[in-house]
Amino acid sequence: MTSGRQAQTAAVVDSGGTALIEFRDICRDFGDLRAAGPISFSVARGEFVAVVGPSGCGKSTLLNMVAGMLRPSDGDVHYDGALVTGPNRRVGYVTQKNFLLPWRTVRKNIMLPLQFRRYGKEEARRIAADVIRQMGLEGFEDSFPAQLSGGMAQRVAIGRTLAYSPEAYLMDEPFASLDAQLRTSMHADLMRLWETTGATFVFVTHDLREAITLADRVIVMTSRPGTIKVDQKIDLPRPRDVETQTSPEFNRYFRLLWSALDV
Amino acid sequence: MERTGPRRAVSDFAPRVRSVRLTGWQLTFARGGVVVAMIVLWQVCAAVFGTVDYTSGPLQVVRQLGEWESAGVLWEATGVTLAETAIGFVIGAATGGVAGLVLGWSRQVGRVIEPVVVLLYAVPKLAIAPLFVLWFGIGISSKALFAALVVFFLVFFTAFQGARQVDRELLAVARVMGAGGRDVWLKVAIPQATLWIFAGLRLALPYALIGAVVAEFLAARTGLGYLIRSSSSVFNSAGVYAGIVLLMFFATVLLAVMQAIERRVMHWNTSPTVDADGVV
Repeated sequence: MTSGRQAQTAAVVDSGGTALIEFRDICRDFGDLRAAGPISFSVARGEFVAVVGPSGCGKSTLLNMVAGMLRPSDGDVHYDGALVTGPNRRVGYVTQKNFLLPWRTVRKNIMLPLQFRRYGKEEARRIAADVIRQMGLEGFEDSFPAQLSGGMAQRVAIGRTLAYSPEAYLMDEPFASLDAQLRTSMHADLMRLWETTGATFVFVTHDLREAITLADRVIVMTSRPGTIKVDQKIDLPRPRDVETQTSPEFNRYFRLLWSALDV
Repeated sequence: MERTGPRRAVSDFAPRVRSVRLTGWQLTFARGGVVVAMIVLWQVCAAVFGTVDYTSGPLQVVRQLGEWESAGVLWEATGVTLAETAIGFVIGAATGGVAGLVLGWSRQVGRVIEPVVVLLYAVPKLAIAPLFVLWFGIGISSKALFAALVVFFLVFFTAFQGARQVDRELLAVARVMGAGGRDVWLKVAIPQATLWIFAGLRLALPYALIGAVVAEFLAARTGLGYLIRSSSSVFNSAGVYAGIVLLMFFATVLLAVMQAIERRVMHWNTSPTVDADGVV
């Protein structure tokens, strides 16, 4: 896992700081219309932050800015103390659409970022095999995305970012299209991933229960123009199983944050 | 694809309706039957209405092909036309494909030239065929280049659209995954545009043949188009039909080859779906 790690910081310019991800008064405008902002918050290394809010409030925009796919109309995004100015290769982005390449098999989709990063062929295959096992995709290595169910495809998309072990994961409603049961099992997988890798997570969702179940901190955004309404630390024991999810403490958080959401 | 499993189980409860579903061989026979029926009908009509001199007939066509064969012009003409078609197709597809991808790639360039492309696309190519004879003579090159022109526009248009359809968000995600400029092109953008390019190639292949033949109509010493035109000028309807039958045959063969190539390259696109939720 040593090759191909050079030049990862090429897209960021050093400017000091402590948090891994930092939004400083960022805004997103469409012409004269302010879609989101000003927003300021930071995410500490290893933290799991969930962002909830009504559709169109700019949740995905925040992730796009961290990934360096979108420049804020105003304000700065800093990653590991440096200004984000281009594609941020140190993060793994699991987008709402899974963006698997339909002409590549599951294995080759997972190997894609490793090829981009010039890993050796042997190493890439070995890592892909590891990821396939970890994500429970055995037996589907040579299937094409069109042959997979939504849940399987999403697992491949997560596995593909997992393959290059980024230090931060950006996830944009990755489980939105899954049924409740599958979602619960994916939550468990995700928590295991978080615990074993110690990576930082920014998880966008519109499902408040999902946010409270997963996160150390839940940020509630307002509707347009999207700003931060509540930034709430979730002090619940882990693992947050069904028992925790039906406890009075959980429901207290739920009620508190629900009232903050403009619904 | 054979349907098995759950579908069969459902039919145990459904009222039994005998539906006709032709298997591979039956389908081939049925299709062959239709073709044979049409040929017979052609012959019968020509005989009954006494129009053999005008509409010819299958027997006359076969006799004509035999005459061409023994005169040694059949293979020469076929070879020349197919060579013109192949050269024209390759030149037109390569230049059209590359130009379409490159120009469709840039948003701004694409916006500027799109109306120009549509305008050029609307030019009746037939009208400029005589110019090709003027420019390139009556040999193979004027036909091949005219076929190339026709192919160029069809492939250029689809490749242009294909490049414009490439999902920009996907490319951005690929860059975050670590892709450099070359990777984005070779591993993401071009494969994604391939669907469109194949549509263009499939569309263009018969036109390559038509382009070559049309140019032969105008001025040539050999080729299937020449055979058709020279037959036509002496009111030999059998000769015209024999040429058309040959063209139909080769167009069908070329398309079959094209489809076989496409199936190989695009195998992922037609794979049957498997519901795997229950397995995990």
